[in-house]
Amino acid sequence: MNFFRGKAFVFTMIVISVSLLLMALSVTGAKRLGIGEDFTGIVISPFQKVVTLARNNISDFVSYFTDFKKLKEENEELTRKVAGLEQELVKNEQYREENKRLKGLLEIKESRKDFTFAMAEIISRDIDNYFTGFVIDKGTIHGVKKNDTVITNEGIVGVVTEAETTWSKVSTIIEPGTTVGAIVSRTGDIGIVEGSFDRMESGLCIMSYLPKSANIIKGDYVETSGLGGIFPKGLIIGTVVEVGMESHGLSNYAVISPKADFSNMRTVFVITSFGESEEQP
Amino acid sequence: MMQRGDLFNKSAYYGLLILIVFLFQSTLGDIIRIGGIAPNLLFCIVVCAGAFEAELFASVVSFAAGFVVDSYSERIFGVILILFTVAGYVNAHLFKAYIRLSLQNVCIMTMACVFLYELFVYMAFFFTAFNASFGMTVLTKMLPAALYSGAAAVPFFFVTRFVNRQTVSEEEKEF
Repeated sequence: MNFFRGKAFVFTMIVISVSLLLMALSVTGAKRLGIGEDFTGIVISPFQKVVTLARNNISDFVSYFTDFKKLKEENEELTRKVAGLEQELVKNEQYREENKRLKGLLEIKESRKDFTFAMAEIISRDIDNYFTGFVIDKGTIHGVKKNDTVITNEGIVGVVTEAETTWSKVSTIIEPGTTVGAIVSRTGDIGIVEGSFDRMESGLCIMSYLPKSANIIKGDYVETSGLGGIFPKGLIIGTVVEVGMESHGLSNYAVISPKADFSNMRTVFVITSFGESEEQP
Repeated sequence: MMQRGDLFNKSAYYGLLILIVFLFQSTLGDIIRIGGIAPNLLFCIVVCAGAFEAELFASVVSFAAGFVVDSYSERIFGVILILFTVAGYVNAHLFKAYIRLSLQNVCIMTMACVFLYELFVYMAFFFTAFNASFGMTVLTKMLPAALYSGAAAVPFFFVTRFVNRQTVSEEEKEF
């Protein structure tokens, strides 16, 4: 059998020749031999397209299984990251709230330079429905003492009824038994704001001992009068929502809706001292 | 002469085999890679075709395999095509004239062909790097690739022999 004879040899020689020609076309410069290159491209590119498509599809299919572990790890990593970010979000929300509270405090401080504050967190609330009092995390070592006024940036909240070393009990102004000397801002009528058992559930309190001649209307602002020396003068208590005459007919009363939101409070400010000039009317 | 039906079956077999092997090697090649070395599975087909088929048919099969590789490579079109076609023709000629058809010889021829193929590719495309690193390339790349390809030729040998027995009788091999 002769190596250099036969159809196979001729075929091989043709392949070699054509290949060499194509190589020459490729090497000598595509611009001058654009037709040759184009021809090769036309022949090859559909084939490449099909192979690439098939290869990509197989790769995608196989990677579905081979990448599973990687994807699982990636998923776990992302879950951890999301949890971290959620925590950060909660923290940011807390900072935002705190910022809002401190801004309020700053406003009060700016307007009442004679006040000394202690910021306190509410650490517990009365568990039954008859009381709205709560416990704060500041006590005598922080300068808090009995009868100190407790406020938020919205208005007056209540009074410290019991001061211990590191914590204190606070009664709100809507609790029966709490009394605050008050004045209607617009008219200057003086009375006493006190908690009412009937109104407590609605979050309201009563302003009693208003003169019969008092021209109080719904929406009037009521603030502390400073009488009695316990509460400083000029703190917003709330707005009038209803006006009426006492049953004995000697004086009027007004139902007050406090400005402070008792249900959503988390931080309060205790006024540990205030100027003498503000105490007296 | 080979019957038209047999020719079609064989062409389909080799065409499909080339396509599957190429797709496998180009997509899942990493699975069979050992120490960064992958066997040249298409060369296993070329050698098996040379061993079992007539010279012209082996050359055509080799041409097809070379065409697939070359058309998909970034290198100058034609070099791999020539190497594959020549390898197919030479193998077929040697198996018909001088070498006895056996698994052992197919493996040896695969090893030899892959080694020479690697050598030619190295010389054709990396001749500027033909220096002191050549020895290391032979030891770390060419020889392991040749040995691995020789081992990989075993399943191809059996599959091709099975297909060959199903389609072509002994006297028809002289096509």
